[in-house]
Amino acid sequence: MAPQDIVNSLSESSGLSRQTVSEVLNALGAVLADELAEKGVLRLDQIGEFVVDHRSGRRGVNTETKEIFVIPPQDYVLYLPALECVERCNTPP
Amino acid sequence: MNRTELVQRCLTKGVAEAGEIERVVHFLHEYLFSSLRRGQAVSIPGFGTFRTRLAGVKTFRRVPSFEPEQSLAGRVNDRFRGLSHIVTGTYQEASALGGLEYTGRPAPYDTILEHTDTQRILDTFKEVRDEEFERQRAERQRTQQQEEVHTMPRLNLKDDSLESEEPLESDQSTAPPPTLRDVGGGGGGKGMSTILLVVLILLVLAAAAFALNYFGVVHLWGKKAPEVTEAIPEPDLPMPETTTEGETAPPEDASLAPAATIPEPAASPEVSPPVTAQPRATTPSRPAATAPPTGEGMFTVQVSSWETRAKADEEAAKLSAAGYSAYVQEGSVAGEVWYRVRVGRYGSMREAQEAATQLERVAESAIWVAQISE
Repeated sequence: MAPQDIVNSLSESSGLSRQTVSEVLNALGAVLADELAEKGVLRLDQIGEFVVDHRSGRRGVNTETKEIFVIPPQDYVLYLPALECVERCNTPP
Repeated sequence: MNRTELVQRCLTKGVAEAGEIERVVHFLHEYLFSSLRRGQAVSIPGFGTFRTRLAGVKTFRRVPSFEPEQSLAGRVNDRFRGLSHIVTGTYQEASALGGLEYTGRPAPYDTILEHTDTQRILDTFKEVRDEEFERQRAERQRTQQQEEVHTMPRLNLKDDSLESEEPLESDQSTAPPPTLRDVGGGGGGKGMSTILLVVLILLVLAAAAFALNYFGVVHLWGKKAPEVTEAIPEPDLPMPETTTEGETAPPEDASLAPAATIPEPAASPEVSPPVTAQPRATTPSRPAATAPPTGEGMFTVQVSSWETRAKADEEAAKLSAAGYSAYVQEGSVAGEVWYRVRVGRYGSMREAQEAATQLERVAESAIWVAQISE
């Protein structure tokens, strides 16, 4: 679903203008990203936990070209869904 | 972070009032779960996209997942931004070893330092440097060669160098396997030389036996030469002039005596011609008699029995040439016709046995005494 669809749906359900909803969503995303990038951990109630995890460099082999290459290390976002989130996703509507 | 804290943090942005932000957060919360329940994705600008994936074997469950936006992923991975995969070398098939051989080049660490000066990167990359590759390759080659040593025959062992604990050099991997010449005086070469020596001795013994048998010194195989050939030369005696008509028939008692030992001129006028002694092969063979010699004896000596008349005549001619009164008699055994070569006619079994004993030296076949049926 495109972000514009989310804005339209939230605007209809909340009664706010689409511009206001869009600005609030942008602010919300920026706040979450800042919190995660600064602290490395972000816990949202009923949604789950976002953790910045580290994946060390390792060796890789291309079996077709027989090339050996080094995969660089990487920090990535690991999402651990909350139990309530999983249950609600599997609850019939 | 709970909902209140989230609203307070958004309020600092100054985009909307607290009530509006709280309403948007509330409906976003509900909208998120309802969309995920239907399998739809929800994207929050600047943060990421929530999705669900199906998991399970018998009963599927929706497991929520999150994919951060490119901007957020870049901010999180700021320390290692710009690093890409570095090809350090390639593995090539080494047919001699049957495995893989690393032909690589050192990793360009200077390129990595251009992007960042984080010491953590270097520490991380140390784990996968080429030294690690070389160590693993050498260990794999050593293990493989040890397995080959256990499976190869003893002749290809090259001392104990292959079983040493020293790491193998790259030159050893391409060296050909040791040959018998390289082994020198090893245990395997000594065993091989012993086998060759035994085979050589056996060949020499076989050649000696063949030579002795060929020249007649020792009779090991083949057709035994009849002793008649040595007894045939007859003395160069003149023929007696007192030969009478009654002496043409060979007497029974003298028929078995060889011509050389008993040069009786009356034994057979055809056997003892007045010529010099010659080998039997050169003397013309006289025709064999088909009837037993006349006399009153009821016993005779049977030398051999043949299916063909020609062969029986030939054998009888040989005996006649040797001075015996041989003849061929036809007989029937089980409906088949056999030609028996017999010698002489004797009055008693004892005389016939004595004559048979003498004939055994000449004849090759078994000899027995038979009774004349006529």
